[in-house]
Amino acid sequence: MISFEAVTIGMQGRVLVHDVSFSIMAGEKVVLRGKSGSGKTTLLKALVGGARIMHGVIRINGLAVLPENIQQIRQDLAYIPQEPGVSRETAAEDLLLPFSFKAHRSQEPTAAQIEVVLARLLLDPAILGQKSATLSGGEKQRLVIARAILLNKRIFLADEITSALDAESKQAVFSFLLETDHTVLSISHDPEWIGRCSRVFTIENGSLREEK
Amino acid sequence: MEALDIPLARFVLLYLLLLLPLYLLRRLKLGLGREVLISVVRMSVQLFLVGIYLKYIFAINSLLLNLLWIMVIMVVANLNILKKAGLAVRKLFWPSLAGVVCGTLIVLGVFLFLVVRPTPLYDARYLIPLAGMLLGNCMNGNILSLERFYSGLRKNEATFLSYLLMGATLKEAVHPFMREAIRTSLAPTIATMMTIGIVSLPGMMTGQILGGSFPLVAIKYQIMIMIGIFASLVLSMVTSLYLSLPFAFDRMLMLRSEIFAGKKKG
Repeated sequence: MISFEAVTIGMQGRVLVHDVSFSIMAGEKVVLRGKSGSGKTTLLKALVGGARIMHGVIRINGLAVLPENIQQIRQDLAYIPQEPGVSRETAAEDLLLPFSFKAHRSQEPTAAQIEVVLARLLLDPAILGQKSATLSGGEKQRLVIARAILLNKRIFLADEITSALDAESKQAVFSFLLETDHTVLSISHDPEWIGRCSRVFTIENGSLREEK
Repeated sequence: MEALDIPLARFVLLYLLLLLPLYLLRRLKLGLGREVLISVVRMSVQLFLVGIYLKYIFAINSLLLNLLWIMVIMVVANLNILKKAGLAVRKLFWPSLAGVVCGTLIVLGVFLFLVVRPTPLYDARYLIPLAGMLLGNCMNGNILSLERFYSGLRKNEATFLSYLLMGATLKEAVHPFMREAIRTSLAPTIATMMTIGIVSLPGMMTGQILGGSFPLVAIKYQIMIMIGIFASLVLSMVTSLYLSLPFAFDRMLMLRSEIFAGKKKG
């Protein structure tokens, strides 16, 4: 569960989200709407310690977003940006990047596990041999999601992810994120995505309003 | 054999040589005239002052004075590094200085105590020019590496954040950015080593040859300097980058915006 309790968030001294309270139950699919610069991305980033919480508390599964908890909180969350940074030479290296870090070094997935995850996202395993730079936006997006699945993430923060997706990728991503029990907090302007989310919020002038 | 001195009247001729490029720049409407003039005046005044200063420092040749001089130029180099890299002096003065000090003093120590061994070991004639040459190169390399590293992190915040979410420690998450910054900053020095002697004779070697040294002696010094520059560059970059991390990131491991100098660059 995620809860915002009277939260004010700022970036570089400027208040972007003011005195916001709401909560999201596990498994809910939530979408935030609002003009660009309205603070949507800042709100997502605040969940993972990427924006300054000036007042109030954000809790994720009971843990407040504070320096002492941030490492544990980050374990549960996946952030999928508009343009995912795939930075390694090949797609395989990008997919397995987290398993090069100390925290996951002993948990490297087997070839069979990887194949299952890729199939679920309609990705051809041959893609792993490709250079990361040659992947399409949709493929990068799915690769990043595949990585999050391999890390067993439960909460997905998705920032305008459908803008990079072609029809095939869209179906795969929609069915993975929206038809499973993962918690999804997203930002989108895509009517199709918004229509399939269970709750819709609008951010305007720093405050948040839920649409019924 | 001493180098021929240049009489004052003929020395003035040198400045007339500037008229041609200044004319061309003006014709091309580059608007650089003022900047060029200021830089030429600064260069001349600075070098004359240093010339006068060095004359005394060489004559006095005291350990304390020599060390004081090196400390002063290290601080000046450090201020320049942070300023040019667009970083806040208040926040990163010490870690950056530590890199400069570490890179310069270790290499200088090897030069003076092990390789050249002048008497006295702190002989200003060796200590001051060697320190100056190391620091000059160290400065340029550190400007590049610090600028690349921190602007790379700022531009790719989402990627950096995604590394943290994948369980990376701070060191693991900054590693790709550090690798890129160091690689870029070393490239000019590596390229110089590749072609040195073929196209250009480096300044110090030219100076020594003009000053009457045998070319083979001058070459040994030049090789020493090139190796020293490379070593001090890597030492200072790595030290500055790593030591700056605790100052540049907050407890959530996010980059502090205060480390950038107030004015936004370009």
